[in-house]
Amino acid sequence: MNDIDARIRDALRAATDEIGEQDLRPATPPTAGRDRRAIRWVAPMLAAAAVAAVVATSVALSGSPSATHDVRPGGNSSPVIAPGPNPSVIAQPTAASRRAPAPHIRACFFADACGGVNRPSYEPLWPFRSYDEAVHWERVDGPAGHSPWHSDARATALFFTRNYLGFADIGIVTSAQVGTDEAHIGVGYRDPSGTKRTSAVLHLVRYETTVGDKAAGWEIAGSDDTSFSLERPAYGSRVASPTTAGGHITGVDENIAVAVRTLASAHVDHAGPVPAGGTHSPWAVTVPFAGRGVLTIVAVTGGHLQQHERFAIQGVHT
Amino acid sequence: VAGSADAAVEVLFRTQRLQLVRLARLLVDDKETAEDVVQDAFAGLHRRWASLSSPEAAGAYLRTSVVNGSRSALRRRRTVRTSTWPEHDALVGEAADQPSLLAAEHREVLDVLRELPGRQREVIVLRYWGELGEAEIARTLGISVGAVKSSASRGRDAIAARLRSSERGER
Repeated sequence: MNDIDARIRDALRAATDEIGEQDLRPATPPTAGRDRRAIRWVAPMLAAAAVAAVVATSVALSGSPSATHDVRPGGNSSPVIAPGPNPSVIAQPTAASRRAPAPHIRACFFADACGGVNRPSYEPLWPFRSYDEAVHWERVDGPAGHSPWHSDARATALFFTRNYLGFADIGIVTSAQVGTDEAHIGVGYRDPSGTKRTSAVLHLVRYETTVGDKAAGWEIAGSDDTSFSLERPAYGSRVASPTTAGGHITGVDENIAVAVRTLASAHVDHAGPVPAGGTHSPWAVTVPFAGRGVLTIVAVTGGHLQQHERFAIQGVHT
Repeated sequence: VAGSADAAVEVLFRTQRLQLVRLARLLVDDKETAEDVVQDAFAGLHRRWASLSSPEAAGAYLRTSVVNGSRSALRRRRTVRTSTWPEHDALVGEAADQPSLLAAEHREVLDVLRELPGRQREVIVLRYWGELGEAEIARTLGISVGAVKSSASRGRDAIAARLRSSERGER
């Protein structure tokens, strides 16, 4: 029976040994007079403060709300994206920002939560249609009341996949990186051998106006694409019917179907499937659609192990 | 007093934070929540520094805070999961960030641990991972030594039964 004791001990050690100092988020110990919530996750806050300063400066200098940007959600970008001609520039924390981290840093993830100050970065795909809906849930319904799953990034990702996209055969979370403002959740299924297969990694963002608002609900903003990508039309672009969806795929005997959805109505337009395969091979499907407003373009392939095996999404608008 | 609290808590933060996050991780299943729990524990320690019986009591205070904080986090999570979506528990119950490189026999033990009642799980973790004695576990959890013994026994039996059952199934 000592074997049981050893196995328990070994399993617990193995589980915790995978967490090292390098895996912990930067944080500082509490000190007198410092607000507990303000000190949590110092580095991300400082970075966000610095980037917010860049955003404000850039907007003031450019003065053009229509300046182009090609920021695509899904990467491990900073939560606030600097617009302008060089959107990849992320400012480092300055000495001034280290001295005085702003306690309330404006977040600018979605157009209607930006107050008209900054340009939006993401398309609000699901479940909230607008900032008004999100804030109504936060202040009136939840998180202790109606639909408390809005505060759970994993649940939101799964419900989006199963209930909105209708992929009922995708039923587990396969990976999760949940940050304060953004989350990347892998959803998938188990193959016949019991191995977890990831169908897509969804990118979620809190529908918030202040960085670090943990009470805000999660919104699906896009997907992190790897071996199956949906690159056209570009994320955040304006589209008209019909539109051609396309990207690249690595796989054998794939069949790619495309759907266009909107939260504004239950109507869904479909196109395909079209055969595809190879290594990083291009694919394209033209789809006419009737939806208006923010649209979710969904590309899905499968048929080997189950109907829906991999998918990718793209957020656009009319 | 504030100055001494700052310095003492900073030392504890630098030397014990990782181990406490690991402890919380075993109790709540995800690292992000574990880090929150530990940060709250240190904040609580700092606020109550003056009322500690001695600086040496800080370690025990932190351990108890982490266990209590983890319990609260799990309670909040259960509330969230009591939704109108019947499949929610089944789907989100997956330990999403469970280390994927763990050996199968370790994963099996951890799977059973996750299904144990809260107190049994806490006792098993403090005994086998924390290497604490029964009296110290009792003080940490605020229960009797007898309750520690019975919880440890039941938890261990549950794990042993599952492992035996699994081994029979493999043959």
